[in-house]
Amino acid sequence: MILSKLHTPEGVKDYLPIECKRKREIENNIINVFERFSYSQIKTPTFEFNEVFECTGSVKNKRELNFLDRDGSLLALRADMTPVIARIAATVYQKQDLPLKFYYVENMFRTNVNYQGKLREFTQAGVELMGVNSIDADIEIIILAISSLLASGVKEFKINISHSNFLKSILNEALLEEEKKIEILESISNKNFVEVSRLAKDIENKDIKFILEELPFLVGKIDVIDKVSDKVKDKSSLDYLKNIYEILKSLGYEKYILFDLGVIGSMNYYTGIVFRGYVKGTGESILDGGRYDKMVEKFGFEMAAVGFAIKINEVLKVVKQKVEKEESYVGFYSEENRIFAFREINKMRNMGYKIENNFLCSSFESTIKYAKEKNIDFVINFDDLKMYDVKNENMAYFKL
Amino acid sequence: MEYLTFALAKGRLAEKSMEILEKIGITCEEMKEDSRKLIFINEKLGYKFFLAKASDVPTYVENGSADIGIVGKDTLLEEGRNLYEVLDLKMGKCKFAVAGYKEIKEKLDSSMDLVVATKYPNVAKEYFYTKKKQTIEIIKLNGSVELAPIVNLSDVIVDIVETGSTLKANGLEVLADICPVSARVVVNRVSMKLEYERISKIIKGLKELVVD
Repeated sequence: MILSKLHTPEGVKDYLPIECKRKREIENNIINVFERFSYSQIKTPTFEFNEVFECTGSVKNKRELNFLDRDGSLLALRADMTPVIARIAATVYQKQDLPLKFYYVENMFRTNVNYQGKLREFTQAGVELMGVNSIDADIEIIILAISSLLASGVKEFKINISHSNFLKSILNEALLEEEKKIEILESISNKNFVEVSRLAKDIENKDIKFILEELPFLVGKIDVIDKVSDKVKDKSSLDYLKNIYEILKSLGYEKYILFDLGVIGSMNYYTGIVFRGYVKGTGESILDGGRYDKMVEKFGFEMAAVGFAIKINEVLKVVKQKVEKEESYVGFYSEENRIFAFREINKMRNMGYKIENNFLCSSFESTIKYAKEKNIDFVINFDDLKMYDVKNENMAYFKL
Repeated sequence: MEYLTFALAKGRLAEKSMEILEKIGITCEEMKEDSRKLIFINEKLGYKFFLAKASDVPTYVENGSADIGIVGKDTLLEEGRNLYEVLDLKMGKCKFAVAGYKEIKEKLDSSMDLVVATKYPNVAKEYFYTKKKQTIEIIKLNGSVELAPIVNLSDVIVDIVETGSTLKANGLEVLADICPVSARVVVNRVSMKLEYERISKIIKGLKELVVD
C-alpha cells in the first residue's frame, strides 16, 4: 500500500525555500512591469461554476478539474483566468469604466494526461486590456509581453505573431463548403498538417492550395507575409500584421518578433492577433496571448479585449538567476541573558537586519559551526557582546 | 550551432527512417556500429539521434527532448499528443481494422455489449463511440491480441493489420477497416518555431522523396 500521506498527488508540487524565492523574484519583476504599464491587480476565487469555463474549450478537450458543491452544482478549479475576468468585466463594470486594465498572478488547475511530467497546478502571470479594439492596444500588449519576459530574465525569446482572420479569409476565398472549412480549421488547430494537405488536395484555387500546403513553414521574419501577400485577395489581416511590424520595428523591438501564419489557437477563441512566446529549453510556449473580442459578450456585455499569460513554471525552467543573498546574523545567549538578547534581536529586526535566533547550539563555538553550515555571515554573542565574522574569521565587539 | 535531435521508433521503421534521412544528407555513422550506446551524434552536421519504443516517441517530442520524431500514425492516434504532424512518409503502410471470426459480423453493428480486445483503447473508443455511436466493452492487452477472440476473451479485436496473414492463419478475418496507417514526421511545438529554417529544409527535402 502506498502511504498517501507521505506524498503529493501527481501533477502538484511543493516549492522549498530556494525555488520559492526564485519564483517570487520572477513574479515580482513581472508585476513591476505590469504596474508601470498602469495595470491593476485582480484576485478571483480558486474555484468557480463550471459554466464560466465552458465558453472557451471544446467538450473534447475538457481540461477543468471538477467537483460538486453541497447542492450538487458542478464547480471547477480555475483553469484559465481570461473567462473569469470576462465574467467580472461583464457583470461589475459599465461603459464609462472602460478601458479596464487588469493583471493577475495566480495558480491555474487543469487535468493533464497521467505520467507525462505535466503540472496540474501551475502559475500564470497575465494581463487583460478590455474595452479597446485598436492597433494601439495590440501594440501595447505586445510591448508589454516583451517587456515582462525581459524583466523575468528570459533571454533570446521570440514572439510569434499571427492573425486569426488570415486562415478564415483564405478558406472563404477557396469557396469551400462549410463542413470542409471546419474540418481544415480543426486539423490546423490540432497541428495535423498531413491532414490539412490531404484536405487541400482538391482545392481548385492554386494559390490557396499552396498556402495550405506550406502552412507549417510560414514562420519567419516579415518576408513570410510578402511571400503570401500576392496570393490572397483579402489582404486586410496581412496588412494589419505588416502595420504592427513597422511600428514595432521603429520602436526597436524587431529582434523579438517573428510571424507565424499557421496558427489559429484554440477554435473560436481569438478574433484578431494571436501570439506565442517561445524560448529554447522548454517543450511548449512560454507565453500565450491574443485578441478575443467575442468572449465578454458570452457573459452579457459586448466588449473588445486583448491579453496574454506568462507560464511562470516554464520561466523557472529557463531562467537560472542567482538568488541574491542578504547579509544574515545568528544570535547566541545564555539563559540569564535571554530577555536582553530577545530585546536586542527585536531591535535589529526592526532596523531591517536579518537575524535568526539560535535554538539548537549550547555554546558560542557550536553556534559558529552552525553559521558556517547554514551560510550565515555573522554570529553575535549576547553574553559578552562580541561578534564573529564568519567570512573573515575574526572577532570584534558588537555595536549596532 | 545547436544540435537537432531525432527520436526514432525502434525497429524496422528506424532503419527505414535512417535510409531516407541519408538521402537528404542526414547521416550518422555511429549508428551503424553495433554498440550499447543510447544516443548517437553526428558532431559535424549537428545532429543527435536516439531510438525509443514507438509509443514513447511522441512523449520525447512533446516535451522537447527531441525536436523531430519519426513514428507510425497508429502510435500518434493512440497517444494523442500535442505536437506538429508535418509529413506522411508513406512508409510502413498498414491499417487499423476490426477483426474477428466471420460469424460475429452481424453482432458487430447491432450489439451494445460487444467486447473488444486491443492494444489501442483510444483508437477503439474513437471508432466505436464517436464514429459508430456504439457502446462497447474494451479489454486492454499488450500483445498477441489475435489470441483474444480465439480463447473467448473478446468478440473482436482492434489492431493494425499489415498483410492479414496472422489473422488468416488463426481463422480470423478483417471485419471492418478503421483507417490507414503509415509513418509520420512529427515536430516539437517550440522547435517548429525557433528552428524553422533548418526543420523546414529537412521536411521539404524528405517530402520530395516520398513515393505513393
